[in-house]
Amino acid sequence: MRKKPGLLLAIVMALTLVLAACGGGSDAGKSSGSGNGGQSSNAGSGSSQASGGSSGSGESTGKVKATYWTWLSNQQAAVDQFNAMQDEVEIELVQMSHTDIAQKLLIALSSGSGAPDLFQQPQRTFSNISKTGKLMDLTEIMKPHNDKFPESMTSLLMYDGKQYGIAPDISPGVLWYRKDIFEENGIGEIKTWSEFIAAGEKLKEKGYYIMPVFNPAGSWGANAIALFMQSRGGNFFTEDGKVIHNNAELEYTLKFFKDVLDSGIGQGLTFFTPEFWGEFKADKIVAWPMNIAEGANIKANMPEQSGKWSVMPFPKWDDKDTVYTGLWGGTAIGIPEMSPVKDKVVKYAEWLATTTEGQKAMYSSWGSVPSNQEAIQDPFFSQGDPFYSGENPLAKINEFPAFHYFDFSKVEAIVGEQVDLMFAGKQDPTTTARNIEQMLAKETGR
Amino acid sequence: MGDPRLNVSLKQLLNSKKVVPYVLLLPFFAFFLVFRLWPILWSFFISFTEYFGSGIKFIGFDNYVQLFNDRVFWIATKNTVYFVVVYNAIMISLALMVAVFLSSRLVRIRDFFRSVYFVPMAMMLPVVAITFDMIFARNIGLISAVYGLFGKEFSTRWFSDPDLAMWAIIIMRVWRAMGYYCAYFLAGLASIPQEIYESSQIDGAGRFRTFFRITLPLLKPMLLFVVIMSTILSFEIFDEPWILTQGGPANSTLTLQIYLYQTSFLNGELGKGSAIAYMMTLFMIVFSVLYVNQLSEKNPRRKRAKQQG
Repeated sequence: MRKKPGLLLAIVMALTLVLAACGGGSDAGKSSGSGNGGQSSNAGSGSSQASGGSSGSGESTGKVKATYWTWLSNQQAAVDQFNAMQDEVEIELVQMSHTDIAQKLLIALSSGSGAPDLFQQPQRTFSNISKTGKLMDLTEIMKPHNDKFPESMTSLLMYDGKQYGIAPDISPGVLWYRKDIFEENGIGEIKTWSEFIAAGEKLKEKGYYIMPVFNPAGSWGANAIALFMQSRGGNFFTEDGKVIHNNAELEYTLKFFKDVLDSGIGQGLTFFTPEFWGEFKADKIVAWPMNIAEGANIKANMPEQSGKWSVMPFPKWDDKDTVYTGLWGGTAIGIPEMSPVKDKVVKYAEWLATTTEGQKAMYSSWGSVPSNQEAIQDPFFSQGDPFYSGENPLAKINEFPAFHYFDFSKVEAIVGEQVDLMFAGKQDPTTTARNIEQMLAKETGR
Repeated sequence: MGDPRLNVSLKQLLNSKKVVPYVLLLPFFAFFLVFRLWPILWSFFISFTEYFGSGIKFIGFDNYVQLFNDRVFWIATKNTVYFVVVYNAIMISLALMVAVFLSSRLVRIRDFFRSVYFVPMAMMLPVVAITFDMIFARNIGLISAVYGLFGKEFSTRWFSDPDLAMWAIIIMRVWRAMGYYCAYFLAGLASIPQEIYESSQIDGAGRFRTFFRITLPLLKPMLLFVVIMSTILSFEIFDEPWILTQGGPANSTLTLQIYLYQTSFLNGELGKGSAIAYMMTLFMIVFSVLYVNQLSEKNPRRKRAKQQG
């Protein structure tokens, strides 16, 4: 009789362990660092279950639930609009950082379970996911629409000749500036970068900075370098993916940032930290050549400065004939092949990107630039914004030349590292450019 | 219902003194096999493959050869070793000093101080990291405010300077972990008989001599335990540099764990990431063996030094 409790205890312990292993965290889907595959009661009963499939648990309306991983929580309005206009699927947005999405997604795709029904990632690193071969092929779905989108953008969503992503937005560069401080100091519209530098010198005398500079650079700085280089018509790679050596545009861009930092007209600091926004709030940084989506961040972080900000197009480089801007990137939506509701959720991505209504919903919710060149002609997109002194940021976008993204995670890492060394004074821009080229060639094999 | 004689035998077997311990251990072994051993074996296997999440391709030692030729891997290794050595030297020394201080009868309200030193360890790591980021921030940070009181500007950017960023991480980690290991040393000190100290006092030994000739040798088992545990844990450093600097600036705070994470989950190279994990394991084994060897009584050099001393 005394032995039976021992045996019973062992069985209970074993059962407990098995149940604990099969269970999930209650907030795994919502928190960025926990859980796996978004198994979460809060994430809804979507495909993020250990079985790898959507529960397909229809509600009384007959809708199936689907899970959507994205870092853009303000996209909820667009999701709600889509959910309200159809009876097939109820998409539930689960917010986490895009690095967390990349990490969890790769694990889920390789293990075959725990993936969401759809996800969002930056366009420039989308190939990291599409090369797994586990995404839904969207080639036929997007074929009738591709003429509405820039070819350079569509090429980022292709892998091995097939399209695996749908891009609802792009994020070109513009020049955000404090209209009140510019007017106070007699600075009008800036048409060239030499005028920008001259304005910076003038503002420096009054204790202002004309732009923040990524310092340390890291991957954000690499993207800033890419944006500025693209505005000069430059690239890291040729169209067929070979590293460009003795890259004059890269060297020029690096020198530009180094000069801005060393001259004191730009302030070096870590972006998007409390310290960073503190400098804007304290009226120390009074302009920002950056992607258009940062307008939403300016609004969110400095609401008290409404009406003081404005926007103008990216200036022209003095040694160039054409005035271009560069792209910070944009987002792309992908659908795991394993999703049991993939044919339903793809309609959200399709609606968001290919219809004017969807593009309006995108712009209204997270403020990025519509990627659909046809939809952007709609009068809706020509309204001014009182926060930006009545100006319409969409009207300030220059054309942008093609930019070739290959192995961009490695590009970010290498460029970020070398730019940090340059800013620390350990090497000059020429050495930095040559190092970047050599390391890119070696580490990517291109 | 089966043969009743068989049922009785099975019952007897399962309830026998020889079998019950194994039955009770079974849950642990099941858990270990599924959640510990299997991932270890699987990751060892994929370290010899090219694997992005589908379509495994066996490539032999290519991942390891790539790592040997990968300058970023060696930067991460150098940073990790530097951190492990410097951090442990400072932290263990300070923890020991504080433990000796707290165990002194001259200190009043010792229990209060012991609790205070332990509090940092109870704080969540991301909270500590963000708090230190705020402390070091220009214009709005604590250090900047103190400088401001003297009319000066705090212009040092710890987390942006490649020469200082790792030291900022070390300072933060020492602050956090010191109290924890201090508790271990306090336990070790408490186990040293007072009679030994009394005897040394009678023999005229001063404080320093007592510490180096009596306290330290008798504390050695605990010291060895702390050194090994702290070394292994510090080898895996990830959170602080990831939250604060993401391995920058200029890879100056890039550790092996961060490099493993970037390779596996941001670049999608799971095979190469597994190879990094195994190289880390190898380094930790080497470190641990070196430590144990150096600090062991059986070490011939230590034996000779002791005999001569």
